[in-house]
Amino acid sequence: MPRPRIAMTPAETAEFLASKRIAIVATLDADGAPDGEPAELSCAGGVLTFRLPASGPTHRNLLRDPRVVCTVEEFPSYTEIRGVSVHGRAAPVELRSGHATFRVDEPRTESFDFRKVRPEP
Amino acid sequence: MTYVAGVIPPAAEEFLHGHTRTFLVTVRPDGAPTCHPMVGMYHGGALYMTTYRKSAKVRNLAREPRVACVVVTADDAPRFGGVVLRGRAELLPPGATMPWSTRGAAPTARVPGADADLGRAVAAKLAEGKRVVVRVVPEEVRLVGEHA
Repeated sequence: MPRPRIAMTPAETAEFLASKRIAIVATLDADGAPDGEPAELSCAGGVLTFRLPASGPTHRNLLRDPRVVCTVEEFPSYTEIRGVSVHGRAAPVELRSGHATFRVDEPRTESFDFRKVRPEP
Repeated sequence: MTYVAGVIPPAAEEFLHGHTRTFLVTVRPDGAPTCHPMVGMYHGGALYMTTYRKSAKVRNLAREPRVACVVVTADDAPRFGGVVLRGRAELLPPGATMPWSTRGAAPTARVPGADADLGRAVAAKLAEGKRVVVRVVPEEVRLVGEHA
């Protein structure tokens, strides 16, 4: 998401993240190959957390390599796509009822909002 | 449930035929994962996407072809679910179009807001070599979330 001219402002990014319940969480496996899984997202007070099944690959991957990116996106139509990716390090918060919760530390955010410019496809 | 080695389970195929909302996970130059929202079209056992040839994701997958594709429903679907495909990404040669544009049946999944003009514009960019087709043949397939 490199195009700064269509990036969201910090306030827009925070509002967008707070409005979303699901993120795709991407990690690396033991061989360094990428993997991904949907997770329940929660964003409060500028702290991003996510919760996913403890039996899945993401939980296992993050305990070994905390590098993570959480991506949320909205696609009502091609000219209105918006997305935010938060890169950081995942810190385990809780393991409960078969689900693991992680917090995203050292967050770095990328965003785009196609509504800010009508892109060429 | 994880399925390995070439056989895509019917439930996953059925899902992929009906959904295009795709998150492509690649590896950045610094070794960390990154994730790109895409449109993924499933056809003949592979997932196809198009993107700008000079984009960061193309550089990433040219350097490290191992990728993951997370194909999901809308966030607010009555049953949120998806399919994770892991495999190697290939870039089709410059000028190549989607395989169904010259032969075979087009995928049936609908892309929100896509119309004939958008389709023609993408086809022109592919013909010029400004966009490229990325094909991912899955080596591992997992169902995630809720499925019927």
